[in-house]
Amino acid sequence: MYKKVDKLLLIALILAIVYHGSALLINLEKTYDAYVHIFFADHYVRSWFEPWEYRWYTGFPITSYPPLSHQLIALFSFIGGLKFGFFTAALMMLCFFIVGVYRFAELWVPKRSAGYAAMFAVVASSIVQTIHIYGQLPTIFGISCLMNALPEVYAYFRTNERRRLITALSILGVTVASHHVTTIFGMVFFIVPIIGTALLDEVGVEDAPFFRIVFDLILLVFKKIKQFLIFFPLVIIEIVLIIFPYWYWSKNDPITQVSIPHGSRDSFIEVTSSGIMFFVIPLGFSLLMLPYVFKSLYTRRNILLGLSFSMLMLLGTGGTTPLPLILLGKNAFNILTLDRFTFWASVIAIPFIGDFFRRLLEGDIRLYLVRTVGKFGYYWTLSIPICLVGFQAIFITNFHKAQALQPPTVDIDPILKFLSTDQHDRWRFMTLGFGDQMAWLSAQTTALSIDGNYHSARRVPELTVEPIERIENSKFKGIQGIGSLQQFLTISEKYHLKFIFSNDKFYDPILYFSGWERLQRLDNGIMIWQKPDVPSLPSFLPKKDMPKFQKIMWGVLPLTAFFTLLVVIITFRKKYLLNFFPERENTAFRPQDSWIIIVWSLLVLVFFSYFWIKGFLYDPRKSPETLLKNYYHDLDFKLFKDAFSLFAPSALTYDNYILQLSVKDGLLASYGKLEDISIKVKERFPHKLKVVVKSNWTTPLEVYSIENPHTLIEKDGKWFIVPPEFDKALAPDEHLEKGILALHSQGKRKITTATTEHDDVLDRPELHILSAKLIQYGKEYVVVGELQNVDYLPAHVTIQTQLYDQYNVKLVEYNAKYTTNHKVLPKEIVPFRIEFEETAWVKQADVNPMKFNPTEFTPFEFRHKPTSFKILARAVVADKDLYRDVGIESLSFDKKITGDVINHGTDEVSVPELLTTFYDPDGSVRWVDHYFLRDAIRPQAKEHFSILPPPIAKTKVLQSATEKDFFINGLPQTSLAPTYLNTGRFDIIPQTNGKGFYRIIVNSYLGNPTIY
Amino acid sequence: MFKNKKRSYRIYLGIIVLLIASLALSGIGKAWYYFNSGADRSRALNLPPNIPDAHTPLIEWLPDDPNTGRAMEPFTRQQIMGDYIRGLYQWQLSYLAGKPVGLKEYFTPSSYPKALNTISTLERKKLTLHQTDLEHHIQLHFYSADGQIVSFTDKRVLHKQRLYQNNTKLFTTESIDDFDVVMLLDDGYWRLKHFVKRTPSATTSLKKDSLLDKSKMVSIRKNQFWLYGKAFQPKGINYYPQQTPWSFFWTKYDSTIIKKDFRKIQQLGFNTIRIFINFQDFERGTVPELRLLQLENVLTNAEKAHLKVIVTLFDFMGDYRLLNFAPSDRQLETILRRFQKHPAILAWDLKNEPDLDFKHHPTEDVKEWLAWILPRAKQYDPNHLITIGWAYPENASLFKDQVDFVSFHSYRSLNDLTAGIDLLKKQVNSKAIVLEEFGVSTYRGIWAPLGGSEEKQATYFREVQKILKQKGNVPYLAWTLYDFSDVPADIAGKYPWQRNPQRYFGILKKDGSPKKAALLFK
Amino acid sequence: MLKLDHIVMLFLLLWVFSRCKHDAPISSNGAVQLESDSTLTVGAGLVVGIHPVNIPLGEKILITCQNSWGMDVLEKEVNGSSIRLILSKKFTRISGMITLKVFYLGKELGRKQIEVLPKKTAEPLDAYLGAKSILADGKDWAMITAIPTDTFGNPVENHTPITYEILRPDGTQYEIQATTENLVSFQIINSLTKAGKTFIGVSLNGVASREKELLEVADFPVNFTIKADSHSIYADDHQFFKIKTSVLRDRNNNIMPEGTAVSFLCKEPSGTGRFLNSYTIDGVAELSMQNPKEAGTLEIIASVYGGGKSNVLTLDFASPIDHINARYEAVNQRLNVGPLIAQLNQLVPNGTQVKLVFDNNKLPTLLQEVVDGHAYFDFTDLPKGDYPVTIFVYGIGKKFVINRK
Repeated sequence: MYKKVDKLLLIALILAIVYHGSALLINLEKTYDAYVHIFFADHYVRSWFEPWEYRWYTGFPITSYPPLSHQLIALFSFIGGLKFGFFTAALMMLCFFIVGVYRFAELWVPKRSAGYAAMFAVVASSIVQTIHIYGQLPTIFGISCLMNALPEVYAYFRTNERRRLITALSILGVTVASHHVTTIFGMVFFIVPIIGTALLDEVGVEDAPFFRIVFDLILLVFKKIKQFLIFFPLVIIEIVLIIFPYWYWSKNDPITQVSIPHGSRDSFIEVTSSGIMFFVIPLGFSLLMLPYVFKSLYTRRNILLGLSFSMLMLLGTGGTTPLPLILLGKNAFNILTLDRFTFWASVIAIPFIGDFFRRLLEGDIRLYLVRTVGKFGYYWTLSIPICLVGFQAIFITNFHKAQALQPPTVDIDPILKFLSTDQHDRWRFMTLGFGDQMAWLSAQTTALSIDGNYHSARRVPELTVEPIERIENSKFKGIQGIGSLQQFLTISEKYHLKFIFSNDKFYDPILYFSGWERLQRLDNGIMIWQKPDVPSLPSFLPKKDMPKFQKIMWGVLPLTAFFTLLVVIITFRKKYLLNFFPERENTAFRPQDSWIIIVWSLLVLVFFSYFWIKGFLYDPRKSPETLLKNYYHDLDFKLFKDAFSLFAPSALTYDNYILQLSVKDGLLASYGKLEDISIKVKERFPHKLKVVVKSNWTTPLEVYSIENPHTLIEKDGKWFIVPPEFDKALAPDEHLEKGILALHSQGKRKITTATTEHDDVLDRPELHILSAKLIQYGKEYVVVGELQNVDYLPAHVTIQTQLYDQYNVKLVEYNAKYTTNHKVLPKEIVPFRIEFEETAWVKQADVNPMKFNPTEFTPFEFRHKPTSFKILARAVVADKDLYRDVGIESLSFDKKITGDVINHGTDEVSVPELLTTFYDPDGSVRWVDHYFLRDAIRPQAKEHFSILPPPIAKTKVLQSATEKDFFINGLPQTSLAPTYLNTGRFDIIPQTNGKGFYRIIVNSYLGNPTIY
Repeated sequence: MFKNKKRSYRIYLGIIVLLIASLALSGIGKAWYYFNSGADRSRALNLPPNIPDAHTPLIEWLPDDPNTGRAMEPFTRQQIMGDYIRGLYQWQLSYLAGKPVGLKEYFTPSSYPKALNTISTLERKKLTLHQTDLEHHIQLHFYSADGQIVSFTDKRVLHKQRLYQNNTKLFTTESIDDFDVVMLLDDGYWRLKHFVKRTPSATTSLKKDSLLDKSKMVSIRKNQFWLYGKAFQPKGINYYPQQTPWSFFWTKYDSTIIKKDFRKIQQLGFNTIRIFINFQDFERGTVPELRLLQLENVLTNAEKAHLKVIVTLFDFMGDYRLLNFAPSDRQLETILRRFQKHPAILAWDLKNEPDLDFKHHPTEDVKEWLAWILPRAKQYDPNHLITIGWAYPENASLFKDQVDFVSFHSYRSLNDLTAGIDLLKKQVNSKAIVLEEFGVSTYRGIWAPLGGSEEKQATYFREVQKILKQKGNVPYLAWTLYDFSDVPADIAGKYPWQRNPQRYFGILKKDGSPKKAALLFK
Repeated sequence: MLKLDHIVMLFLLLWVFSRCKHDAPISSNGAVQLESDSTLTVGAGLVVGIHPVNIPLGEKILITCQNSWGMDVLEKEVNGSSIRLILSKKFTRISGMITLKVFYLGKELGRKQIEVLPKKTAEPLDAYLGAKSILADGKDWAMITAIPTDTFGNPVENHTPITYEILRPDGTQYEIQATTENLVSFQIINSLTKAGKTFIGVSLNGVASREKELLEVADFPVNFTIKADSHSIYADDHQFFKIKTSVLRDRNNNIMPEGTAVSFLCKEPSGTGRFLNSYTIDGVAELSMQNPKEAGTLEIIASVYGGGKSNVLTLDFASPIDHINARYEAVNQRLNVGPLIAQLNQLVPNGTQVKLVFDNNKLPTLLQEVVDGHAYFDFTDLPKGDYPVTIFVYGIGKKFVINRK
């Protein structure tokens, strides 16, 4: 009665191990989530029963993700390390999945087809994508357990055998422990339809009239009510009990509740890249087999699975149609990622595709084809699906070669060495531009990072348009409830954040202007930035404790679920693979219907090629708009060859053009990214057009909107741009010589691991705050002022201000961000301005920021009016970034402040910042402002600037501070009296309208300083 | 015809199944959303807590040495004391925990091991030491030019210790010593380098406040209350505003309601009220300015309404462990020093019904705390009378020598009252006694069907007045002015048959209209 | 079979028993005499004799010994004879007062205080130099502090003699005797007027500390002079020339430390301003300044806030050109300004700015840069007609009429 197992299953298992095993070795680093799971596994290796994880964010409970897959990786890692752990767990579960598909298929198709289904499952595109692109191990755990559980559930409801119940429950237990989402949604889409089909089989669906079946069905349900009352409550108990801490704690763990923008919710027509990534690739070959699958599903017996399959397909289309949004409800829609529905749909389709292949290779379709197109034609038609399946498997595994999903792999050993030497791990660090490899770094060290990689958001690159380092939504913006990037950099002592490992040049200007300095470039090309004067982490870090019994539950129950599964399978191993039910034959799809598949495949082919061809025929020169759009796009991506091809013929040669552009540095040229452009036609002439193009650029520091005029010439139907004029000024001296101050501080003179000796710690340079005012500017409060470094050593200065209300209760404290120069030479005077921010995106209304916003600012909500303030300035000796050879020329201040910034030194200034200070007639500071120049200044070159006068009329002075409000290096300023000879100011110019004075100094960021 | 009817039925069935499935799906979606949303985002940021100084012993700066190397500014003194006291506090927490807790920052690398070895010896011997320091008198000797080194002597440091062996107390002891201390400023923390115990020096000059004319204040002469040179017979009521009783009194304080209520009390013929200071609302050791202003408002309104006030301190404070001695001492000092000259105060009631706490806490600890608070109260406010409101007359004789008059409460039968007064009179011989709380509930409802009524309350009050008159005109304060809409659980128990009667003890109904008993006090 | 009420009774008894032991201890009038020597030096063992009086045999007494850094608790059984308690060396290693207390049934019977004196100071002598750098103005001062400790880290006895050996930058060397007070000893070092390094050694009866270095640096600079050595006399807005300050010194003639910021403020011939800054190397601040755009005088003043300022340096610049020639090329409808010839009959440098202003200023001013002596203004799109314009180069204007045919 029971037949032997089909040999194809064995072949499929071997194929899976060989194919996936070898591919995974290479792809492990390239996936999105593999490293996140490895990091969690590393947590269990270090502290199995303590769910609080210190290393990410400022600590979060690890009970926010079902643990089994991570705990298994941790167990295997004791044998051969974390990657070996991930590797073995993935392969083990993959084989269990293949077996699951085989046994699930036997419910719908004959044994032989089930064998073919198992073979196809090895190369099914959704599985390959989940492992080799997403690296989502828990999903594989979930689906493989579900597949194995379904036949047991089916058998239990057919034969009410105790053995079946035990196996079903033990497998479902493992599903809950590893991927609870699969169990919960699996309940609706898999388990209920399977039970329905089991009852249908009991009733016998073929012969009786429709009504009879429905009536018998309901009768049967009541007859088997006892089984329902046993099965479902037990499953519910399993779901709640095995991962009880997850349900208990997920309600109030803010880290996990970030609604991440996800491609699977876009409309796949508008955002073609999401369409491909979340619909076409997961379905892959089964997309072409849809007619066959639908035909075999919509039979009387398989109708329930058919309904579930069509619902999954509908949900999988994400935002393309409003239906999924209605079905799931707005809230759930924005939390769930919908690609899992497509994934489940593709798994349901596998048995029927296996059935198709069996009939194509051995069955009636083969006979039909041989009859119609002859043996030779048959072999040809056979080769098409097989080649397609082969191509699909190979393409997806090497997907990252076509379109890189991660920045190139970073060698993390130099970073680990840096973190472990000289107690660098007593501070927090952060990585920029690492993508998901950050999790691999965290897994190797105990140092704490302020950032985390909990939801890798599967950042989808716009496949068609943008190269890798431009993955737009991958720029680090900050973390909800903890702080924005700008806040991390400005008040780093609040987070004890001292080191940043930067792999993306984009962030350099922000880091420099918020007071960070370049420490060293490691030999893997990563630049280490450091913020001086940040206190180290206290020995006692806060943690949210969890009752002891929950910790033990979390560490023990999931593993017991896994081991019970092992025991159950071993005890029933002989009967496990055999099918005790009569073989199903599904003849819904008649061979002569094959033409539907061919037509459908052609349709799909035409649909895709449309996009591809549209891109190909596109010729920019057809109209001025497309010409200009294309020109600016080429400039944005530095495709200078294409840009040059759009120029009208002129004296400018290509080499000269390349030279002029590549030498151009500056905030816009090297760090800017084009947002959008708008074109305004000025004058129209026959065959000639004068336009002004307004373009918006995002740079790390500001958003610029620039207008530059263009003249376009039309020659026989094609439009060309007149090439731009370039700066003609020549530097007078070819060779420059200048004496430069070279500084070096030894740090620890005695090479020991002990904390720095008292003698080796240089005194903190003494500062003197000249004047400061608390000013109300519109709804915000701002503190402006000026300070001098009266010591004999250059100083890195941190200026912190505390605001108090009339009850002398401290309201807020914040540091100076961009509007100051953090490095001060001896006797130099530096202005500062401090605005007050609250932790970013704390309020529920603030949504997760989609794009990097350079001017991210969360104003502090003043419930009480500030009446007084204290300034706490502190300094440490500095020996970097002291370039002062930039000055201001031909400066005039009437309606606007205009002038030229001249660089009379030896280095090119990538981003010059003008710090303008305006004084009251009594010489005390009234307003301070900053302005970033767009272009770099080469030695002996000039850049014109014109900026708005200060909004003094709109500001109101609330309080001007006296000496007792100033504290220098923790000591009150009243007790430090610098020995001034005279306090006359000879470095400020009277304002033309007579009231007060003003002064401008330049803070210059050198992109690549000549290391002297 | 039959064929397409069958097909339509099949479609209906299909739609029904789809409907059920989509309902289930949106249900799961909602449940999923419920479990994955609603967290308060500000909890994501876990910063080391800079808890307001939980440990607030008395700190007094004695005059510095003549040549301390460099003059020290008040701001620095505050910084040094902050870290010194915090260091000692973390040390005491480490004794409690049996392992170093946040200790590293407050000791230099050379002195840190010395601080650790006692923790490990006691832990090995399975002993737990509760220790607290309550008084510091600092004399500065040296402050280095770069503000990094300081040397001072901590004079007459009062230490209290209790040693426990798996939570049975072995002994409790007290010691006064001098400590020579040297501290270094390192990495932003003042760290303890040397800590040498010396023999205690002579008593330090605790400043004595000047006495003032106490004519406007109630005093006791020959065990009689006197005011403005003639006998004063306190006749009062325990007071909570109708809307905001118990813990809402201070958090939802409203001076207009207080003024209205005080006028009503005066019209009812009372000349005294009793109010309660909630220990937690006054934020333990660091009393906020806002609360002191509210208390001042209550007292000035009382004075305007010619009412004398018994202020009951440490309400809702049930912690008699050593670590609570310092915060209670600071709250006592802040309040008493602030109002020591206020004429409206009749007396400070140091603790409401401490004998009820004998059940939940070791009696010795409660007595030790009272013995600690009584002399300090006298020291902080020599002008006003001091008492303790005992729950039962039989305990009221405790500390009878330190209190100015003995107060007791009585909610038992009339004969218990008379017996209690007789017993008490014998024990305290001639000292004045006051019945601080008495009353009966007019509640009659499902929880007490044959319960109280206004007549019963009136007759009970008349009887009590008669007894008190016989026993030598014992002054009394009734409980309480209003009926309340709700009573917190920890007052009389959380069961409805305990809470409901508690809501009807007032002599005025919820809407303020008087009950029969209200007219007995004219 | 135990009846239910038996069990209840048992519980009650247990409960009562546990309460009473706790509540009212058996009061006893036990007493104890403690005798041991009242002082000892650190590290020596300590023997204490304890003579319990009328405490029943077999009872246990608790002895606590508390030193400066903590306490130890020992339990001893009363066996008739007096109890000999030996305090371990480890415990007596900490100096200061040791208090011994004896407890019996929660009541303190007696206590005794023993003074532990520290040993001789040991290597290395802890010395700290406050303010590692001071101003060499004769008024500033720093402080050398010594905290001598013995081998166990206990602070030294009061009034122990200590000697300071100091060598000043001007070569004088002297010795100061002092004593330790309240665990520390300090010495104020007043600055002299010569900048340089002062070296300090501290020793206490043979035990020496590491060498300490005190840096005495120059104070704020006094007034100084600036001069421009060679500069071209033509305001060509192109060439640079160097401005140098004299050596900046403070009142006591000490040269400024490296990197002292000096700010330069200038007034250009056209009335506009200049902000430039530099820093001193070997006391001299150097700055390369560009020639102004127009003829006239350039006034420069340098200053260090809080310190001195320089003289006002005035430099006169002549205009590099005296005439502008320009002609309108009708063939390609453009105005050709140039060749612009400077005073040495050389072409004007590339990049010089040429400004064209329409007299009836209906059209916007045009700017062009000179390349190889010429600057071209293209008027192909200009409607026909005559346009009176003025051309400015280096601030010199020239009238011209463009007739666009």
